[in-house]
Amino acid sequence: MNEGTLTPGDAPLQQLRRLEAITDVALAHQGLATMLPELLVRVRDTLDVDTVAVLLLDEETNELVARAALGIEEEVEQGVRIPLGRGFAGRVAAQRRPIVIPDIDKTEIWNPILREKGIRSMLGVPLLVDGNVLGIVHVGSLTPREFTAEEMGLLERAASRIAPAIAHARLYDAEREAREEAEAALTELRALHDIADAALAYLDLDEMLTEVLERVRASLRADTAAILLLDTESDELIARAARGLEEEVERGTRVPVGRGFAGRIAASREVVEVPDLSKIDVVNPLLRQKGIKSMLGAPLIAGSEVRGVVHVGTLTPRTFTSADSRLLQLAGDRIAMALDHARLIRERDIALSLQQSLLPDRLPEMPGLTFAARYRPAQGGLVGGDWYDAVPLPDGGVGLAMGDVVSRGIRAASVMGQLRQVLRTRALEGDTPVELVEHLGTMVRGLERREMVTLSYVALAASGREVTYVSAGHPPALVVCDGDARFLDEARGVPLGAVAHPRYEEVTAELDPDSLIVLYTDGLIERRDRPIDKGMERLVASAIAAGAEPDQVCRALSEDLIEEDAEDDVALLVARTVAAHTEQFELRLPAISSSLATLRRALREWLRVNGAAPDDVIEVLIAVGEAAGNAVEHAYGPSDAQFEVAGSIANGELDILVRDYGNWRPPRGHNRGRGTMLMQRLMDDFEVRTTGDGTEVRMRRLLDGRSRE
Amino acid sequence: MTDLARLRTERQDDTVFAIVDGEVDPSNARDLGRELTASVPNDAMAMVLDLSAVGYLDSSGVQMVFELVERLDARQQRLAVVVPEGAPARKVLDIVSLDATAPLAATRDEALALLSAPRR
Repeated sequence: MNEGTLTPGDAPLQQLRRLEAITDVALAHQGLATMLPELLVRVRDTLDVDTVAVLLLDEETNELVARAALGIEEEVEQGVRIPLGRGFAGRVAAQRRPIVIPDIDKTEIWNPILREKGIRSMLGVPLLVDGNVLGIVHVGSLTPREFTAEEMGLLERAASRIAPAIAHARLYDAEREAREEAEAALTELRALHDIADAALAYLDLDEMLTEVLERVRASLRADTAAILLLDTESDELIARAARGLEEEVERGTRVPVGRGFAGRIAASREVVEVPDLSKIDVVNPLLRQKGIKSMLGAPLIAGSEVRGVVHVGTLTPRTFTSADSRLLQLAGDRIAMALDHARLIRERDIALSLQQSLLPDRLPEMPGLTFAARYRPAQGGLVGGDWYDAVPLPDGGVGLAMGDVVSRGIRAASVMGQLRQVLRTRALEGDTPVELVEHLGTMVRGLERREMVTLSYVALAASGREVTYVSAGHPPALVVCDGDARFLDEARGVPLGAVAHPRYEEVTAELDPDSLIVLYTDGLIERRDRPIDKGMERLVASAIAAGAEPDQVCRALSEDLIEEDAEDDVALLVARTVAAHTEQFELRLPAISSSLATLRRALREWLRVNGAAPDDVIEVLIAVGEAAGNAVEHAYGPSDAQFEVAGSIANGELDILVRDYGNWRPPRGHNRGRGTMLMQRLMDDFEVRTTGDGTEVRMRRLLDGRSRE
Repeated sequence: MTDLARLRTERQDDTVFAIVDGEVDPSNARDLGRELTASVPNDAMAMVLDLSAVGYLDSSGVQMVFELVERLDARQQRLAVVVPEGAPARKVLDIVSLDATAPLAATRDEALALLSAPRR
């Protein structure tokens, strides 16, 4: 028995001291975590009991939750929860009065731990603040004991002092928690802010995402973290970066928007928390395989667009706090911004290099032709779809091409690049305009993604007096000569790849000497506030007034017709067929044997126009052909070698130079020896010079009409 | 062979007539030489190569003709070349003295007559 501890004869002062021995603890501590354990010891010692426990009311569930215990620590460890009104503790709280249980066996008990611990008698009192139940405190004895009214009174009074302290401590804890949470959030935010800003400097998107993810994972103390980016074409999320979940990226996991965990986040554009992963439908089996128990995910939103999803996971069950959610959403916003920024930089870089590859570095130098071209990029940084080219043809003419891939962006640009390459190759191999357009049409139909492509192709004959043209849904080329203008609009055809078996027709038209041929894309003639035919009228007027030089024409058309803020890109290609009657001849050709025929045609025409007699023409052709044949035979390097032929006529004498960039071997064998002999015999003067980077053959001949044979 | 030059052959008794028109340069000379060799069956005694309609012929074409002479010679077959005076190929073949190796005639009849003359 513990009778001796608190006897009826105790003086009030003594009782007060005992009370204070208990309650001064409550005043000395500010936090529950340190206050409660010490309080329990005081209560136990003062009342000389075996067990003490404090249970606090969870107002949300109306349950008492064991918060601190002495002698029955299991109560706290097992997180015992007792519904209000049930069992011993529940009744104390519900009835808001002390209850004594002299013999536990005769009472309804909710909590089995009490019996398991061998408690025989109990006393419980409510913890009240301003009439509200905060919880209860109960004491127990392992031997049967009659708690006295005085003991009850003491515990009650102690409780009445403890309760406000507990309330205060709770408030304090809540405040401190809130403050710490806010501080932590701020710290993490700063960390995220820092990495997001640092991220902008990264060139490599994947590196940046991995780094950001690691910070997110660490900040939220999670085991896994992943970023999935939205593919707007398939409306699927594609795993792009992951920590602790790397296989997700390796496997190229795809999650449809609206389905599974990540899909739900992207669809709802809200933070989604999953405390228990086993209870939801997940698309990605990896999450379960990895043993993830709880997840938290936030959308990546830039502007108003969802770019993807970031999520974290834990391998032990966890209830994420609202601070966790806020933090992840903020991280998501920063990631989305960084993504957009990185994408802009990347697109700009790619756009620049693509643009360079799409348009010719320089236009060819052809006898009797001058060129100029302009390209005005689309506004808003998107890669445009316009391209042009001028290709020397095997028959000595030139193929002028102007195309427009209707879609925009990098993919469209790569289509342009392919088209341009194929067009060059086919044109060099001698495709007729119709064959060429049909070939490109087949190619466009074979593309992985269908594109709308228009093309205007004009083959200008070596004579400069004839064009053969074909159109695949493209605005017609314009021919300007001597104050008159006409469109080459008699060949009509559907855009490339539009139908399976298109019919294209080529139309041949004569050109007067000194004509301008203007090819352009629709951006030049189309404006939202003006019908196309008005645009074409303005084009005609501007082209006629512009002057004779292609460069002047390009400048005038750009100034007159292209608006500063026009969204579409615009390309312009202008060729002028200068009268071939000129004393200068200049030609640069690929060092391949098929160039030799091109050279002969151009040279024959030039010599003829300059009044050379048939014997002069054929003998010069053979001599120059021998020199050029050597240049081709000894061409260096893979495929881009070129050779040049430059000729001039002064006082009836031809002076012609054939220059290449390879080194001739000394003439060897009959054949080479014969070539040199032909040059010497057919020309009046012949000289070979080895320069630093190649070989030059210079020949002269009086164009007197006499055979040198 | 590209369409720079075209080849047509006719058989007349023991002789194959090969008529070339177009241009012969390094881009097609080798292929043309191969086709010409293939156009002479073993039972033929000779080939008459008519280059009258050839608008251009340079040292690559000359080389082709010399090689053809060698190959036919190895098969005991003879070659005569027809090019009239003033034709583009004639200039070149004269300069390189083809007639020292194979008979050069202005007409096909002349070529046949030269082929039937006893070998030197």
